[in-house]
Amino acid sequence: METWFEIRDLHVKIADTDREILKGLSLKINPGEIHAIMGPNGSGKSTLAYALMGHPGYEVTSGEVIFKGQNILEMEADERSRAGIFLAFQYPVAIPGVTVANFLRTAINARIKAEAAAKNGGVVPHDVKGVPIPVFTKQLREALQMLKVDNSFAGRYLNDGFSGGEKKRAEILQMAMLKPELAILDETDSGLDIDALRIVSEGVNTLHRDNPHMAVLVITHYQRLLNYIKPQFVHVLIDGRIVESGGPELALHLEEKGYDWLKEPELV
Amino acid sequence: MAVVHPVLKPAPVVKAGPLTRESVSAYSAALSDPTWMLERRMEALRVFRDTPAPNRHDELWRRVDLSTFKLDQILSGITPNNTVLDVHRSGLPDDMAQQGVIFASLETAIERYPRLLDEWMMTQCVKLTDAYYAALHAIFVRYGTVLYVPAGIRLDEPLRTTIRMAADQLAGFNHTLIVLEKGAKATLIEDFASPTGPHQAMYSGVVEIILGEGAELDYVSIQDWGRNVYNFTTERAKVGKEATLHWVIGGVGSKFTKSLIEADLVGPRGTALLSGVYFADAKQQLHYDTQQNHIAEACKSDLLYKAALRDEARTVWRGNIRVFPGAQKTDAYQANRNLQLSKRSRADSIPGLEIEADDVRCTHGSTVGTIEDEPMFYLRSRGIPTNEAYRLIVEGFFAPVIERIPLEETRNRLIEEIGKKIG
Repeated sequence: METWFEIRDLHVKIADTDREILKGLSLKINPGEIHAIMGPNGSGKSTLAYALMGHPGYEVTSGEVIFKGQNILEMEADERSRAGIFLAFQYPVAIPGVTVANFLRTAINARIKAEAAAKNGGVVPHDVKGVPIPVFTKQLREALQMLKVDNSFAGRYLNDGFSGGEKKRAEILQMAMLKPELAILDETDSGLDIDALRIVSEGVNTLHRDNPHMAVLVITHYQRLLNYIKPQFVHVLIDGRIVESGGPELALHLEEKGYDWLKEPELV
Repeated sequence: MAVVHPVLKPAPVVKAGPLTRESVSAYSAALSDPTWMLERRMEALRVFRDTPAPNRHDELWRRVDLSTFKLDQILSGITPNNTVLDVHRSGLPDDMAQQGVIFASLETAIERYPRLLDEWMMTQCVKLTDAYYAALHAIFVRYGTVLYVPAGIRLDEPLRTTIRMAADQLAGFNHTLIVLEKGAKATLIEDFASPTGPHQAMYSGVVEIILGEGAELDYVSIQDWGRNVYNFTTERAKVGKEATLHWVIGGVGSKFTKSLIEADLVGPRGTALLSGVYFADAKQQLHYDTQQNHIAEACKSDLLYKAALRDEARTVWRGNIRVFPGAQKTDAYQANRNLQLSKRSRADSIPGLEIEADDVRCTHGSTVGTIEDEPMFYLRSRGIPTNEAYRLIVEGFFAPVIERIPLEETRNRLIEEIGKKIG
């Protein structure tokens, strides 16, 4: 099968330091698959999420990340997003004064403009129109409903004063509206109570059901989230490398035994 | 503690030209002024001559660079032909006129409502002695708007004015006088603009707002003068007992602006909300001096001024809350937020409190910040290109203040002007 998404021997350090966090990580994902990466604190989980999205605070020193035939490491963060990669942040950032609706419309229109530009020699044609408001409003209403939030949510400033649960719902709302091909969920369960966790997970599952080709990479410390979003593949990340891969049973095993049995003896 | 000033002759920031009684008389005659108006101008001239030009030792003018401003040349060049403004007013509903509401030009008011002007115009609110530029304004005052709302009359529709100066004009002197009697309500939105002209020009305006008991006013002024205009305004509101003032200023134009904006809470339990949005680019200098004077007890004032600046622009906000003896239960707040979009721009933010009562709540906050990396990355991670992410953040910075403007059209106009500045 042709490579769809593959991380090859990825080395990442914190920018402007010598601190290497990812030390040769490799991973392959096919369309529609759900993978989980589990690991203890400090193993490099969030670094992986940020590096895949192109955060300037992380510097890739070697390796490549192939997505649909392109090395995305050569792309800007916004280009990666428009190519179909989505990161649900562990700590979503507040954008004061910008409403959820305005933000989403801008993001959707950025995709429309980029597509139009691609067909027009890289220049955005003057007559390109954004998403029609009624279409946008309908989509937004449906997504809000799926996540069991009130319509007034769309008029609030993005993540500004949101509770932990609201922030995570806002992330999944964005995922629903932007329809990625590969969704990376970074510690999406952190800070959620059980009801919010269920709603957010059901949201992800619904999106996956509606678009079975969407692949999901769940990054998590705890097995808890995997009771709701069920991966076919589980990988264990320790000290910047994947040290073990298996099926869903691996997550349960980790829940029971912890991570220590996988660490190298001198690290225990 | 005594402050020792160096013994230096203060350097005037500006030099006044040869203004004479004769030149002012000629100006007045050309405008066909009634005698009392000529007398007013002469009195203003006398005060103006007695008022020392602002100098750098004056705290209010310390941060001002007016070295390029040729006030003397402008003053000696002023004629009735080059001080023309084009002022338009929205219509007043017939029933409102029948109920005694006046919404008229200054010229009409001079002709038809001299007693109104005699009572209110530069007598109780802004005074000749308040500021150098207030006195100068009164010498040449021409054009303007008088809004008078009798007791109990409530206007729901916003009233609007547009004040335009042509590119070839030398100076503008517009006067806004708003008097709301007890229980009256109104909204006035004023829009000042000119194209950028070939030579230096000056605008010297005065805004006077007098609110009676329980009156409610929304007042919005948008300033978009050409980049050749040196803009000086003296603006004051007197807020009576249980009255509510909501005052929004927007500033995007002019080469230089110095606005003195003051809310005097003169009756108990009055409220003043002061909002400001301004964006300076290129080499613009925008200075706002705000004063919240709590004279009566149990009043509330809340100021939020937000500035963005780029290129080599400079903004200065200097705000003061003064609580007079006896103004107990004062609740006063002031905040100035600056978004610095270039390293070479400079924002000064100088809050101040003078409190002479003991049972008060006064707080202030001022910040000068830049666009941070994390919000930019967050927006870009959603596919929004860098320039659009930048635009969203700047617009978002202003949004909470712009949302306070009661008219969508005005909100959109301001958003558009800000958008142009973001580039």
